[in-house]
Amino acid sequence: MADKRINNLKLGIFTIAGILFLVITLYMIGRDQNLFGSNIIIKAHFRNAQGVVPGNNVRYSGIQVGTVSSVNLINDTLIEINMLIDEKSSSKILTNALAAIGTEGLIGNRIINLLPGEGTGTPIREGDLLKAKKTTDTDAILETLSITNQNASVLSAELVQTVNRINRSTALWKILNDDTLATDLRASLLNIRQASEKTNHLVSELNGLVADVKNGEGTAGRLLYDTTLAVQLSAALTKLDEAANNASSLTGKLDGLLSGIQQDLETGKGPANAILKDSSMVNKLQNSLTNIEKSTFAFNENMEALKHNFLFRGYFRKQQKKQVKDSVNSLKTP
Amino acid sequence: MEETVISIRNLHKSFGNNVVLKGFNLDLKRGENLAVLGKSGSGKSVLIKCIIGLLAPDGGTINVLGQSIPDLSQDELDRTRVRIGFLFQSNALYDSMTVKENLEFPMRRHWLSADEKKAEEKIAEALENVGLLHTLNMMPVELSGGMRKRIALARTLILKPDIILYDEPTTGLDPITAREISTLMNNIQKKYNTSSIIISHDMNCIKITADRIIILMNGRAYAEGTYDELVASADPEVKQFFD
Amino acid sequence: MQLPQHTRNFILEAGELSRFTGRFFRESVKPRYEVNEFINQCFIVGYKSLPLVGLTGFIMGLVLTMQLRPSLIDYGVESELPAMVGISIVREIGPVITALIFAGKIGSSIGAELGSMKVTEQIDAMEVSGTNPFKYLVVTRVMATTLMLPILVLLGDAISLYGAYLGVNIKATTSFHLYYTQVFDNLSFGDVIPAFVKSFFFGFAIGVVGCFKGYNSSKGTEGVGRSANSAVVVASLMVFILDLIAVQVTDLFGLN
Repeated sequence: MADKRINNLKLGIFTIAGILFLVITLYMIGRDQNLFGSNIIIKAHFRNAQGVVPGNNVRYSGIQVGTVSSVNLINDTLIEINMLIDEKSSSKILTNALAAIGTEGLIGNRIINLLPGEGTGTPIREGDLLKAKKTTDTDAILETLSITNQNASVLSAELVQTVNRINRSTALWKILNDDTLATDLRASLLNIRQASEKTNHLVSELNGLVADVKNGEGTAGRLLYDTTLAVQLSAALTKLDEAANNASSLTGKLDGLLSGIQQDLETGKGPANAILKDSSMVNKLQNSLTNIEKSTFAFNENMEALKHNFLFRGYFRKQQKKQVKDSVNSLKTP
Repeated sequence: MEETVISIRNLHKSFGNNVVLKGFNLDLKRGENLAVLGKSGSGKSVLIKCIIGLLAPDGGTINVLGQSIPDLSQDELDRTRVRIGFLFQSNALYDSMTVKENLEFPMRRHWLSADEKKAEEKIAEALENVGLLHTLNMMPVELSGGMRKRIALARTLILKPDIILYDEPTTGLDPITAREISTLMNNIQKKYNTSSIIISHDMNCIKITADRIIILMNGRAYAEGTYDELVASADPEVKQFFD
Repeated sequence: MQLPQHTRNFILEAGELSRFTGRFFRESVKPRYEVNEFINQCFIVGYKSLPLVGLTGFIMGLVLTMQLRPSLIDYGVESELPAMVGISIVREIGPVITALIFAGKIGSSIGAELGSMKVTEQIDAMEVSGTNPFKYLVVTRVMATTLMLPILVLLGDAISLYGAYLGVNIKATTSFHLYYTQVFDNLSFGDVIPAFVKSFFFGFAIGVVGCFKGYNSSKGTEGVGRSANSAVVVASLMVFILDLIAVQVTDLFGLN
């Protein structure tokens, strides 16, 4: 029965092929789970197993070296994870390696990562206990994230409130809508700029002053220790201030007067006209001028006193000419 | 001396409410060809299926070759069946097998260790008897109705049974083929000296093959006699079969 | 108590099927064993179904991959395609599709074959020839379907996975090595063993139902057609019911 023989042969091939595929499949799965070949068991203790279950992969620096064989609760805080490690890889893993629980991908299965430790160690042997490395658990990350989230939500709630308040406020909107305010503001800014320019100027002058102070006798100490000088200086400055004020008000008055005179002269009446014809008025004017002269003299005296002070000598020497020139000018101008 | 090979007493068989056989009696002597005549559904087929043990009777005794068929175990029944041939109405050739395998089948079943050469000789002889040696490697579907009937007959004969039960051997065949089959049956019976029960309503067939006729009616043997006796009968119930 | 006719018929048939199954177990352990016929049936039922199962499996693997890809791209996990396809084929698609095809091909052919044997008295002829037709026809066929379907499922899985590999490579390039590494890395015994075990039950159910329907075929050619037809329908339904039971049992054992 040759025909039957061939049929049986075909059937045999068919059956063997099927069983072979089953065996290969089981072997390939089994190889992943290290059921075949020799393995050693090592342990690691963790406080939290983080969902590791038997069958999870164990990787050493990212290479598959074994699987988790069991997870046992040792006491209320300690969990022992037993790992089956492929014997071939076991010689490369040292006892100082660290075990950490990780995740395959962001949301994948749990894995045990073995990381090379610091220092030296011997290759692991059956039953060795590896140190566990505490890792940031995804849960912990999520917890932190949730706190951040809460804060953000509080913040945003308050922000909403603030914005609402701003929206409701009529005054603010009025201000924002007001054109004059902008103009005023611009003017103010201009003033500020001018002021600051002046300040700059003043500062540079002060700088010059300080430099001169340094250059002068060079000992600022003496200025600071010399109380009499300080008193003198203060008095001098007060007087200087007064004088300057007087001078300025005088200048203003003079200004007004001169303009009045000018007008009078043009129109041919008024006090200026009278003055020019009136001798008593001339006298009075002369008096006034004498007074001015006197006050100027007093000022000069003060200046002189200051000048004699060795500290300011250098400065005043320079300043004297200018001052004199200015005062002469101011007198000349009207 | 006349040995009784089949003895049936007071046979009862019913299917649900349909009572088919009620107190049927029959005796078959060795070498005798007995025809059982009856209308369709009168229980003729049921009768021979009870004899071969395909159906269990409700009551009565069936004694075949000294064995009480309903009381036999499966093994004993199988052993007895080797000595009984059964020609099915629809031939019952195995469609999935060649003619040769069909003929081999009963042999393999009954004598597991029969050697190949002897078996082939037997097959050749059986086919020779029915004149169809050339169909050895054909499938049953390739054969005509008459040829299939002959193959079925050859398969029945292959174990050289003591008794052959024919279930409507000529039904579905044209009259010429029917006569050929009837003649063939007659020749075989003479050659092997078998006893047989022929279930039929084909009078030509019965005329050729039967030594004695029993008319089965209402579950009982209504009339009994040779062909000539029954033809001459005045009973209208008997007469209707011969018209 | 009077039940509606079809309900009564259904319960009656369930009872007869159970009795038939019981008879199968009784007869299968008793000698004599029809080894030759069993091997012959294995050849017919197993080997000859392979092209059909292979083609179906190949197409299923290919189509499944192409259908899954857009969804996986939506989730940004296109690289998981081999894993996804592998698991679905091994766990579910392979066994069920193969079993359904098998039910269609073998369930109907057993139903029709035994039905026509019944109608043409071949079963009676066997009995008369000193052969237990139940052993010769039913036990061998049921054993053959039970043992061959798992093998067909395995080979179907293999072909299906190859189809899936081609499917993966239609729009992307993946080496065969990477592909099968990805497939097998994501499979576990919990995926393969239940699928393998349940395919035995599928095969058994298909064989028993086919034989039952054929063996109890009513007279006439119409009866043969009806038994072939209902063999397929009932067997396919049984496959799904068993699948449902199987998934619950595996779940119970924590293998999911």
